[in-house]
Amino acid sequence: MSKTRKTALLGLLGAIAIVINLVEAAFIPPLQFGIRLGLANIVALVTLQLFGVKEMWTVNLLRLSLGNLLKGILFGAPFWISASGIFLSSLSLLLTRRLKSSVLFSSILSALAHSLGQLLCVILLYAQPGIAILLPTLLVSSLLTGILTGSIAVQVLRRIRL
Amino acid sequence: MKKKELLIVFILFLLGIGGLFAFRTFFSGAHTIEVRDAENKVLLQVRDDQEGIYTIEGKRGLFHLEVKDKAWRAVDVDCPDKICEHQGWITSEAYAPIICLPNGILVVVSDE
Repeated sequence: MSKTRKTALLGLLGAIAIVINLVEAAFIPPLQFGIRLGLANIVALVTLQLFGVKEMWTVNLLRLSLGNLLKGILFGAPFWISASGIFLSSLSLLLTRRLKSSVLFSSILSALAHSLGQLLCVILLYAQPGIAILLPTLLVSSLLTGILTGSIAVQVLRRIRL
Repeated sequence: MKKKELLIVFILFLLGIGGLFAFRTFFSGAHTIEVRDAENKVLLQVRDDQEGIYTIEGKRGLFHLEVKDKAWRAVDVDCPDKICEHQGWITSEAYAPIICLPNGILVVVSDE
């Protein structure tokens, strides 16, 4: 694949991730505090499988920076919460890639890592360790959303042609 | 998904469900609700049988806490997303903290 083509494709994937994020935030309300579907992670999973770790980081960084810029909260509190979520979830994808795990498992772990990252950031920012009581709820919901996004990613990977 | 992975996921799931039940039984009986600000300072203390609507001032505007029938919820909050209001009624059995990030307000059950 030529470098130009790859750059264009990564830009496209990044754009898709951002749009999914914005649309999900606009139309699907969180079930409880901070529990979202995290559909944008599908793009990270697909990029990881089709290209590799570096490209996954690229797409995620695009999602983080441009997505928050578009929402108008660059460097605000939600930005850092989002950043720690995406950072931890990317780290976990790196780990599962090394372990050669299946896409579904990677998805579940990265969803978990994302929620944990967000929770840790909220605890740090607001000096309120009591929020940790949400851990069991986050655990279960991340597991479920991870299964959902992972399943969608698997289906996408079966059909996509670059 | 491989067998080892499935096992790990299953264990995590059990931990989650277990944690949910553990926290439920932990919080039973009449309790004191505390409204705290972002610096963890207590703004208001109310028992869950003291019914009424309480007004608290947050960073963005006003936050109202309604207590009724041993349950409480956020109403009429000055914030863009109203996530806290969507949480609905909270009781000490079905407990979750109410968190309003724009206002920097936390509604929890006190530790006593």
